[in-house]
Amino acid sequence: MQGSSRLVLAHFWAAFAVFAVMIPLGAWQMLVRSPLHRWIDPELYYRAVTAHGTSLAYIFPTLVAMGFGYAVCAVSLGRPMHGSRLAWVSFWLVIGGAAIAITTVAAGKATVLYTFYPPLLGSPFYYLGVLIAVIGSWVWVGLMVSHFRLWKRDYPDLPVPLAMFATTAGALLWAWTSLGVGAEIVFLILPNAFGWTDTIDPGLARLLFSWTLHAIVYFWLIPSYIGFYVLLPQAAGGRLYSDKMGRIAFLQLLIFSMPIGIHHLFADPQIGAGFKFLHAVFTGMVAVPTLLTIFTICASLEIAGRLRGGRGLFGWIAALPWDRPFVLASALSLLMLGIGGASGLINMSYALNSTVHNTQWVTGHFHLIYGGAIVIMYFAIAYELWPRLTGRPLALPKLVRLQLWTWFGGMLIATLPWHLVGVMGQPRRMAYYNYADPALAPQAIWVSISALGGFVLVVSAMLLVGVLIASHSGPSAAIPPLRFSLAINPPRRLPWSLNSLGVWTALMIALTVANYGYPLAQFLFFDSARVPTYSRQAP
Amino acid sequence: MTIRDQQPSRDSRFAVWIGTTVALFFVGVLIGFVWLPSAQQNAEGLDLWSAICRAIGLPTVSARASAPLAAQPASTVAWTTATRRRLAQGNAVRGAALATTCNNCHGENGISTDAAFPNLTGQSADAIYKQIEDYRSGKRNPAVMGVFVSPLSEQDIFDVVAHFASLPNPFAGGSGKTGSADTAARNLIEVGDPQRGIAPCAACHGPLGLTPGAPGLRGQQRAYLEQELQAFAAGNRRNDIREQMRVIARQLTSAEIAMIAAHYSSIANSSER
Repeated sequence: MQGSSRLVLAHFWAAFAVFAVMIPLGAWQMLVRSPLHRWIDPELYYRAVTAHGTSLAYIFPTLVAMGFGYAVCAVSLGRPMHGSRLAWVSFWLVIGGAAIAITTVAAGKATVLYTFYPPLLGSPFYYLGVLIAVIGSWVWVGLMVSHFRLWKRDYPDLPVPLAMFATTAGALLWAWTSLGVGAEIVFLILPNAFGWTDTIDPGLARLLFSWTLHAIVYFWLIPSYIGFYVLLPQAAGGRLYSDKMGRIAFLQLLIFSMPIGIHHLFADPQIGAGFKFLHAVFTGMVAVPTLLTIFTICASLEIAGRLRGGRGLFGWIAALPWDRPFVLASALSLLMLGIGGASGLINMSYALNSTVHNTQWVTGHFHLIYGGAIVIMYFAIAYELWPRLTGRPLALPKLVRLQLWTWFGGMLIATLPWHLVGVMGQPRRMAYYNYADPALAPQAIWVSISALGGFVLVVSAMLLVGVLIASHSGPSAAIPPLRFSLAINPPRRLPWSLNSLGVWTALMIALTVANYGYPLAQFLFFDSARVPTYSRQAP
Repeated sequence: MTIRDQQPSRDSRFAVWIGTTVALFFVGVLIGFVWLPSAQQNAEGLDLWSAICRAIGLPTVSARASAPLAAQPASTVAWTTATRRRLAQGNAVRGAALATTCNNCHGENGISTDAAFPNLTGQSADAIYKQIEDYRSGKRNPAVMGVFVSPLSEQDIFDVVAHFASLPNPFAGGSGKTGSADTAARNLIEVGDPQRGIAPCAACHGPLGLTPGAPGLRGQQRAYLEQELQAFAAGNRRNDIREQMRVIARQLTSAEIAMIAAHYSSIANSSER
């Protein structure tokens, strides 16, 4: 892989190491707040939630996106990467920042959950750790943009390969969206956590956090979508239906992911209702690139199925090579994306949101769409990359399929009842519920089933790590190099609009300013309400 | 693939897509800021400009007008930035010297030996300050405490508060009988009873949440807790700022009050002193 194998492997191993520790912690949380367990000290529960969320929302996907970004850069551009020393610096910044943050949480000094919502505040080292990790990822953003530009300079008449185009779009999106939480930490939280200010504006902090909170999901999602476009058609034995459609989808994700974060603040009394509506409209637009992707991927799979001899309306589905991990994972991912997307449309609808706001529905939703649809593609990408990175074939193919099936099954068992109890009114983020209360008793069975799903996921996570270790330590073999799928009509030249990101990034920034400008100004200039902070230290 | 031109100025997709996005933005603005606010029923009599201001989040003139205050506040303490700054500047060493009088009843290390007098260790500076101020202003019955707190200067109070807040808290570790959720007392403390409007004690007094000025209850003297809850229930004690303690205590039976007091005081017994 053009000399980048060690770099990519380090990112993936670090990501899966974090994953292997934090998944059992998540299952434990589901258990202790279910009727299957006695109540525990809420401090321990919240500490565990903080560690689980911080690791799996900030560290794990960032490492996967970075590692996969380097792989895409090397494979799609077909030449060695420059700046690998910087890439290692960036890697160690993310690891170091994560270590600082998680140690602080483990010591009980930052039990703030993984969202940064003052006036609840933890130790400054927690926030510093997260900030260092984010700064590390910005180095990666710089490297991706620089490779994109250099390649365009060297080959001005050729289309930038789709995978690199999408990776750079994801990097630019991350750079811009992470500024929200970065500004919140630097300007509001750290001065207070270090004791330089004695009050904080929670409304402004929430708004800045919402700047990051939604587009970060699309930063997590983009590696999975890249997998759909450039790895799946080839794994299925076919070709990509349309290269241009992929570019349009990634451009729409870049533009529409940002000006929508206020849909997390629908219940916030400090934000004007007009802005909430406007953000809901643009959130609806994000469904468009997802639908385009589902269409293109299904069309590509149909091509593969028919090339493999499938006939009739649905015969091509049976003809697909379901024993290949990437094909199986993609189908399971699309199923979870369908259900999770539908529940997401309910969350983002201004009117329907009020019925599920702050209930377990929301946690069920983001576990299904992120932990399910997105993360299962991270597994598939790892299985696809592993032989190329280690020079050894993927071991235990049956266990690989079992791992994917158990992740899918476990995630549905965990999240569908989770959604249901949300609709039944169970609030999220509580350490315990009194199921002896007749009003809550009907939820008990569903919460118990959901907790069992959590343990299926633990088994699946252990299978994943087992397969990756076994593959890494197996005998060497000649492995064909990784290639990305070709489109049916590979573009030889592309119009400027589908081969450049500058204007689209400017449009994303302009839309963000239009949709966030006044609410920000409102907090900064007219409506500041500063309050003292507190930490969750027991009295 | 066909390609007509590489020049951005000649690529019509830019104009079409940016135009569509801008049009979408303006349609959203029109619906969100003009049509929806003005079409709402409760906006009758609201002129268009006020409706737009409200949708944007600009406070309107009518919202700014506040009703005149008729009632007397339950306490004169307010958690302003100035109060917090003064609290942070208390001198604990000087406070320790002043506290010798307090120690006669509240105990050497802030742990009282008489169950009728509360422990002062394990309390936040906020909580102690609020009670001293309320005794001084008469918002809490000053029959016993008045004579001790009235000679204190402002600075004396902040110093005494700093002293007691700096004492080591023997009740901080753990939450007592972890796992004993099935006791009725813990159920009231950690879940409350929504049907009777009883919020869980732990939501303000910790560890679930913390309200500024709410005292810590872990390890507190049983007789003192019982007597104060009874006083809130009977309306003899009225220095809870939003009347929440009076509302809750009125709903509790005497048996429940005794149970809660016993539970909190038992946390002291189960921890090392």
